[in-house]
Amino acid sequence: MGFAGMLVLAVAGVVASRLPSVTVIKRAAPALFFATTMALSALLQARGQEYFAVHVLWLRVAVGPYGVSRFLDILARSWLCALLIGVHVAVTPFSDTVAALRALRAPALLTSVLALVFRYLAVLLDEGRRIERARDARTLQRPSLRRLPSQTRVAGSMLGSLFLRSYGRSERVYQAMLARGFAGDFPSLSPLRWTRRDSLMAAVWGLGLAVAGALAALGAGQ
Amino acid sequence: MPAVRIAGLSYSYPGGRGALHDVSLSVEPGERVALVGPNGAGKSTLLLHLNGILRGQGSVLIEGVALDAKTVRALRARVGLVFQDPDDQLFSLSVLEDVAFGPLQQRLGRQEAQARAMAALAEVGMAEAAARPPQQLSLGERKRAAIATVLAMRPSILALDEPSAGLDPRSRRRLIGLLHTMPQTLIVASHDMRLVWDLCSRTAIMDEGHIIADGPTRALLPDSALMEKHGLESP
Repeated sequence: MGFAGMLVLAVAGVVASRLPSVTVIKRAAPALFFATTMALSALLQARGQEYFAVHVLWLRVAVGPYGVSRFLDILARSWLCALLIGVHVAVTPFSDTVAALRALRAPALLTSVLALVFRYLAVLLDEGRRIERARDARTLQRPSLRRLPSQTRVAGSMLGSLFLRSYGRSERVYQAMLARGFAGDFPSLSPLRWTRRDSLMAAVWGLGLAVAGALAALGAGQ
Repeated sequence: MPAVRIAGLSYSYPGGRGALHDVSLSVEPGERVALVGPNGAGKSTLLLHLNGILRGQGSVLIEGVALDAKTVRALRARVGLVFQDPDDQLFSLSVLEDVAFGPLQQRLGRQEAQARAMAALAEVGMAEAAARPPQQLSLGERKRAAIATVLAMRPSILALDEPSAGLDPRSRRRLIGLLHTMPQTLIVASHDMRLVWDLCSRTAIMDEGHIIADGPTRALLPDSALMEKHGLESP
């Protein structure tokens, strides 16, 4: 029931964002892969009734209603989170997200690292692509299983090179910050202001979450 | 009083590689001085000493004030250092936030910092890009935005490291035009001899951490033998 309540909230979020729902659902799908990997251990937790059990070496592995319920629960939560994060990222400039985290007094180190990662992600990817292109330009053979060790060695060197370049850049960025008087803090130019619209959104989401919570509690009580 | 006075400056990088050896240089207010020399000559290292990012042996005086641990913060506002790669300089999520970073670090109020940032962006012809993320700008635009980041601090000295590197001819011409309008003292490290010829009345040739020659640009740059000896070409 709680899940149904959260699903209604998520659908309301998708509708309000005016994003194409198929795109939003597609973007959230990769989360299911990672969530499945994590949820597998929950699936194997059997308490009470068991559907089946197998022995792997000395280990007895059983699947029952409890494990299946936990497994589906983790999948559903992860997918809903990915869905809502996808909507948030699509409709909110990243600078606003960081400003909001700062306004909520998230640790300055965390917000600064987030902002720098977002700023330099494209630069890092670009450098990675250049390194890859340089390798491809001098690679005469097709990739094959037989050459896997040498290919792995080259990939390791590429990663090392990318790390060294990133390290060098981080040094230079820090120097550029110092050159402009950096004293350890990041005062922002435009802190977010709480408006009537924000109050309305907070009330709607708060109410929705409370209803979802109440429904979950009711479901658990039955 | 000279805008910059460097006397007997020596610096070695960790690991012992000597980058500057007994360098002395004096720059008058409003003067435009080029530092030229082959890669590894020590040009960028010298620029990093101008606002205390690196500190070697010897003395650096900015407008008569010795640069040391006590004065370095205040002097950083007087010397605007523009790095070669604008991606090193523009680290914020929007151009406006980045240009306002210096004024905010100077503890100016938000309104004043924003006004200064907008004025600096207007000065380099980038006011319309204020809200854009730096990664969406062209290299020429990023170079101009990088100059705005230091102009917003109202420096009296601008130190630019390879300002025209990587620019196409149009962006390069535009940048040189912009630098011509700057009233500040300019110290420009560059391999671009045409930029040096156009912009700077004085040139110091560096090689292996030493200043080899220092004089009028129009006298030094045509000296092909001297230029070739130090890995340079006459314009």
